[in-house]
Formats: sequence, structure tokens, C-alpha cells
Amino acid sequence: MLLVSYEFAAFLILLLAVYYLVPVRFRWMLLLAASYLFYLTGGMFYVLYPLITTVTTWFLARRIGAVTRESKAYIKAQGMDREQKKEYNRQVKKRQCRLMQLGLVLNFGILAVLKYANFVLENMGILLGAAGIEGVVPSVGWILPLGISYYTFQSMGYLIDVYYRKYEPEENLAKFALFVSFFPQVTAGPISRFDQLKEQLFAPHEWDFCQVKRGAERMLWGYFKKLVIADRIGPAVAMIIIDPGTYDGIYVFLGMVGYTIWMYADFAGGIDIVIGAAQMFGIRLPENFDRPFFSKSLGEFWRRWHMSLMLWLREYIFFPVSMSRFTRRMSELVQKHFGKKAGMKVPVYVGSIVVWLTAGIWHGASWRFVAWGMANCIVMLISQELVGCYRAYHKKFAFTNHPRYRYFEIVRTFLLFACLEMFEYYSFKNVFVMFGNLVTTASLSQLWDGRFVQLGLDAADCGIAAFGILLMFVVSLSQRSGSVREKLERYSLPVQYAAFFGMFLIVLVAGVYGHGYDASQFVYNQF
Amino acid sequence: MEELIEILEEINPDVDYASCTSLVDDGVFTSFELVVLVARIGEEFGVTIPPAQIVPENFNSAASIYQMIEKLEED
Repeated sequence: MLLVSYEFAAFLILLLAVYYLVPVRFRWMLLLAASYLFYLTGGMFYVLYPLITTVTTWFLARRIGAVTRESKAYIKAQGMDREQKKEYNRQVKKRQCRLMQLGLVLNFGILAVLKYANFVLENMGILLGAAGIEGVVPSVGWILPLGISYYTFQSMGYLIDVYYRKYEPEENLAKFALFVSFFPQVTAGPISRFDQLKEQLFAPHEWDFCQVKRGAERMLWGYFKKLVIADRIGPAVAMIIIDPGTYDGIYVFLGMVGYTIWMYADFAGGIDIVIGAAQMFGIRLPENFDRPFFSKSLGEFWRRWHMSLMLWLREYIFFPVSMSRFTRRMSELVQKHFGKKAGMKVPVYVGSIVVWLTAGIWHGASWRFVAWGMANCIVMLISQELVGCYRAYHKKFAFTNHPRYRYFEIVRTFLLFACLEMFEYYSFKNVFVMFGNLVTTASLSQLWDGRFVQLGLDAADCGIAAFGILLMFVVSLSQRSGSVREKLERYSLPVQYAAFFGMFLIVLVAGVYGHGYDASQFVYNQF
Repeated sequence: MEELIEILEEINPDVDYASCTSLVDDGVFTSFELVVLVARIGEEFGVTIPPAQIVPENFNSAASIYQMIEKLEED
């Protein structure tokens, strides 16, 4: 069931009605049943995989929790001294680590096999083909369960947290199942933490008109981004980026900017729908975007874009890898041969490479995404190396403290991000070829040489897209001083309803509903 | 505490560590700085900071970092 479909609208309205009619204590159970029904609409297999992840993670986390309790009771009963306690705790941690590793291998294994088997087989085929052995490697046609990357990352984050004793494991399997499968977030995230979401999911939510209204407004804003902006410019952007032979020069720049805006409108629009839908049930999911296009550096951008994934990668990959025994040994080795300064950089470099490799692979089973991840990693590490130079530069030149300089930094970050996105849609070689082509041959006159007309955007399309992007920009600007919905509530009821129905009409009239392609599919659904 | 302030100033000398209480929340210390800081603390104080301890509350001020080191030394 897609978030942009009549089925989803009917499902949501019906569920809302039943949710607020059943007794409060049964409401989370209803959400669980609805979430599994949501999965079932995709087929039986859609349910099987999240079920395996749910049961195995719940069981292993409970075992880890039980080992902690048993060991504490044992230490108390035995009256151990400090050294004995240390040694005993080390043994306990080892046992718990093995349980956690079992869960990680099993669940990441399922994800790896389902998502990356074809990628591995394809590359094996290429290697064998180079050795003269052709046609021996088959391809597989496994169904990728809905949101497998999201629920796997979320569940494994929970297992690691329980291992680190950040919170107690959930005893109730059904409650844990709702945490893994809560239907709004399975399609595109955000990736939530159990300690943040459990209070939200299981609290007795009474009917609250304000929450339902705000949720509906947030959903409407998401549909606006998706249907009015993303789906209108999407086909034209796709034509530009898949045909670099035809669309060169200024079109490379149009593709870069268009792709970036399209992706933001599509992904952030989807997240607005998800967060809005959850809010209608009284559940606040974590935010995934914090006005990323107002960032002054790429590092800041990545702290404000797809925040839940970046936080996950930071907490469960960057820090553990940077502080692992392997990295510490490498750091010592480098210190010994190249000095202290170089050695201290090893954890940052190793952690960054692993994180960006994972981020790339997470986005898709393709070398393009690996290249995209590595390109981001290189820019981030170079920026880190130049931190001292930036500080000196900002101290020396007073104009860098002027607000106008911030606008320059914001535009620079946007263009840098857009440039790096080229690694996602061009082949590795073509990124450099097309960038060179843009720098050397682009001119505004190319917009009137007939190629723009072929993109299928008429004057009305351009006008609507420009209006949509401008409105999105103005709303983002306004969000600097707080929620736009809350600001709207300061006005009288007729003004509020006029704004809501006005936006509803805009989405209805200016939205794209089928355009010779699957308009309702979200780019981030495929993960 | 002086030792810790020296390490912090090595990482970013432009901060008033006596008064700043939002080093992580305000983005003064990003993941990169935190990893370098953890490695330097390990070297100078001989304590291993587990990844689970890297939370804003422990790193938002020099005082909270010092408190965490003391706690880890006790353990």
C-alpha cells in the first residue's frame, strides 16, 4: 500500500475512527494489528521477514537482559572483591557480546542476502567473464520486503542499546513487534530509538482534536512537496540525468539542482506524511530533516539531512569503529612511524571511511553509491584537515562575520551537495566528464536551443514548479522562528480553515496524478 | 582538570571552556572532535571510554567530561 493512494487514505480514516472508538488500553494493540495488515497488503512474504527480525531480536535482547540481572544477583550473593568483580563482569560481557553478535549476523545477514545478492553475483559474473568463464553465475529474483533497511537498522540499534545497558529490554513481544513494524514509518523511516518511541507508542492516547488537525496539516504539506513539486519536476530531471549525451552544458547544472530539489521534495514530503500520520494517533516520531539547505558546511548539512540514519551511523558505526581495538592498534602503529599528530587522525579516518561506505551501500546495491559515499567521505575529511585554516581565515577577514557571507556559505553548501549527488546518477567517469563539460561549455542560450522543450515541461508546469519551490523555501525560512502550523493557530478559525482548504485545493489541482510513470512511488521506499 | 583543559584547547583553542555548557549541542564538538578527544583522554588519563558513554550530556562541558573521567577511573 503506497502512501499516495486512495487505499492508504481509506485505511487511515477507517483506522483513526476505530482507534479513537476502542478503549484506550487496546489502542496500541489495534496499531499492531493495523501495521501487520499494512504489510499483508504487499503479500505474505512481506510479513515473514519483519516477523523473523522481531522474534529473534526480542528473544536475544531479553536473554542479554536476563544475563545482566543474573550476574548482578550472583555478584551480590558471592560478595566478590573489586578484582573478582571486574573479571566476572568481563566474562559476562563476553557472553552478552556473543548473543548480540548472533542477532547482528542473522538480521544483517538477511538484509545483505536479500538486498545485495544480485550485486555480488553480478560482480562475480564480471570477474569470471574477465577470466573467460561466461554464463555460470545466475541472478536471483528475491522480493525485497517493504522498508527492510529501516526496520533492520531500528531493531539492531535496539539490540546494541540493550547490550550497552542503555535501557532495559522489552518483555512484551507484541509491544516490541509494534516498535519494529509501526506502519507509518516502515516505508521511509525515520529510524527511531526504542527508549524514545516506547512512551509514545504505548501511552494511552486520548482523542485530541489539535493533534489530529496538526497531523493532517503536516500530511497535506507532505503531499504538496511530493505531488506538486517532486512529481512535476521528476520526469524532466530523470530525462536530463539519464541522457548526458543529449543534455550537456547548462543542462548538467539544471540536472544537479533539479535532482537535489526533487530528492528533497520527494523524501522530506514522504517524511512529512509519515510524521503527520503518526501524529494523528498521538504519536510523535523523531524529525528527519532540519532545514538542511540552510547549512553552512557539508558536515552541518549531514547533521540536518536524513538525521535519523546519520545519527544511527554515528552512534552504532562511527564511534564503535573509531574506538575499536583494531583502530587503536592502527593508531599506535601510525604514531610510532609517522608521529603523534598522524596517529591521532587514524580513528577519524577509519570511522569515516566505514560510515560512508555503509551509507553508500545502504542507499543502493551499486558501485555508484559506493563512489557517492566515498566522495562525501573525502570532502568531509579534507574539510576536517582544513579546520585550522578556516579558523585563521575567519579571524583574519572580518567580512566573513557579515550575514551576507553566511548566504554565500549556504549557496556553496547547496552546490557542493548537488555536485556530489552526480555520483549517484552518472557513471564514475561521466561525473568528471560532465562537470568539465558544464564548466567549459555552459551558456544560458542553451536553454532556448530546443532541448528544454523536449523535457515535457510547459509554461504552466514551470510556473507551478517555481511557485511550489518558492513556497517550500518561504516556509523553511519561516520555520527558523518556530513551527508554521503553530503560527497559523494564532489566527482566527476561519483563516486557519481557509489556509487548510486552500492548500488542499492546490494539491488537488496542481498535484501530478500519474504522468506516464509511477508518480506515487517514493524514492526512499526502495530502501 | 588542567590536563583536560589543555587537551580541549589543543582540539579547539577558540572556546571558553570554563563557561561553555553546550559543546555538543551547539556543534562546537562534532563526531570528529569527539573521537580525537576520546583518544587523547585515553592516552592522558588511562581510561577507556566505551561508545555508549559518548552522549551529549557527558561531553557538553569541561566539567561533565571531567566528571565522566573520574567515574570511569573509579570503575
